[in-house]
Amino acid sequence: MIETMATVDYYTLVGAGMATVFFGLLAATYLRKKPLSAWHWLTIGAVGGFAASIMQSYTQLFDWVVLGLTGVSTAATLFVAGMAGMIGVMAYNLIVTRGKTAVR
Amino acid sequence: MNKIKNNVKKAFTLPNNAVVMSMMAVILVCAAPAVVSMIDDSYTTDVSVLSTFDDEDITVNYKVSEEWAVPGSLSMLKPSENNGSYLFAANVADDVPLITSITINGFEISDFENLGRIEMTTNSAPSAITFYVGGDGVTSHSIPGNYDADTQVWNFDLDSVDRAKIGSDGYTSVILTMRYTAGTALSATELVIVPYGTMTISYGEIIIGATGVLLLICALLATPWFSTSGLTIRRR
Repeated sequence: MIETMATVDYYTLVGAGMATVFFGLLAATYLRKKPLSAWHWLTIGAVGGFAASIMQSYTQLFDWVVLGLTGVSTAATLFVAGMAGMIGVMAYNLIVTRGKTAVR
Repeated sequence: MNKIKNNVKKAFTLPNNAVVMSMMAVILVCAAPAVVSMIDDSYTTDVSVLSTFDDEDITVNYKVSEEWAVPGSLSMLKPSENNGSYLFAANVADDVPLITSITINGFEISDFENLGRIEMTTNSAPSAITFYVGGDGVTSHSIPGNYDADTQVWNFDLDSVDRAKIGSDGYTSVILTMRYTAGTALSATELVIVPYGTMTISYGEIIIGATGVLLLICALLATPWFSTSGLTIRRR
């Protein structure tokens, strides 16, 4: 049996997501040059929620990253390599396509 | 009215593939560290794994109505003869209902060093079983067991303190004592001692490793040279 004792406050996460969407929509009223779809706001909300989750237990994430970078944990090393790879590829695509797409 | 409807429809229209894929990539890059940040030491579970005892020169004595019986009247199968566990059985049928205690002495302490649990199955439930760890100059350490009446199994879960004591130089002997209420109608006394080791499954590391692999696969697919249909020499 897996015992889950992670300190996740789901209300905080949902609240952070909703607040992000709200402020995103508010900002959009000032930036009407290129209207964004509901999918963009869903993405913004999800990113806001995940960012809140990371902020809640960032020390734990930092520990895993250190374990990965030092090679103590193979799983953490895979995670660090995956994150670095994904961010690297997305950045490369954004630069090459001049901000049009992060995935090709 | 039509303009509002058109605007609403436009807001929910799926953007082009490149934008959708980019959105998914952004969500993935944010979700992966969010999942990892929640994983701590609690994402592990200990699993008991069947272990084996080595043959040792142990002695078994039992009391019949508070008098020590002849040790030879309790027969024994050693681990090499019984799939790695000890089996004891009373030879003298008349003695069985009168047994008040059985003491097993002479285990090597090293036999218990890597164990997490000891199970004892008996067809005649004792009123108490005590697992003593002792030695010269140290007070014996008693580990209380738990009894399941349905399965007739006593088990002793050894915690980290028990294991530390068993592994230290001061503790050199292990004694098992079973006490019975005299006069209880026991048809036979048979006892099997089975050792279990402990293995830890780290679900947290499995989740983190799998997340890393997923990210690497997605990173490969996000390049212009790889797609789900295979490797492309020309850039997509």
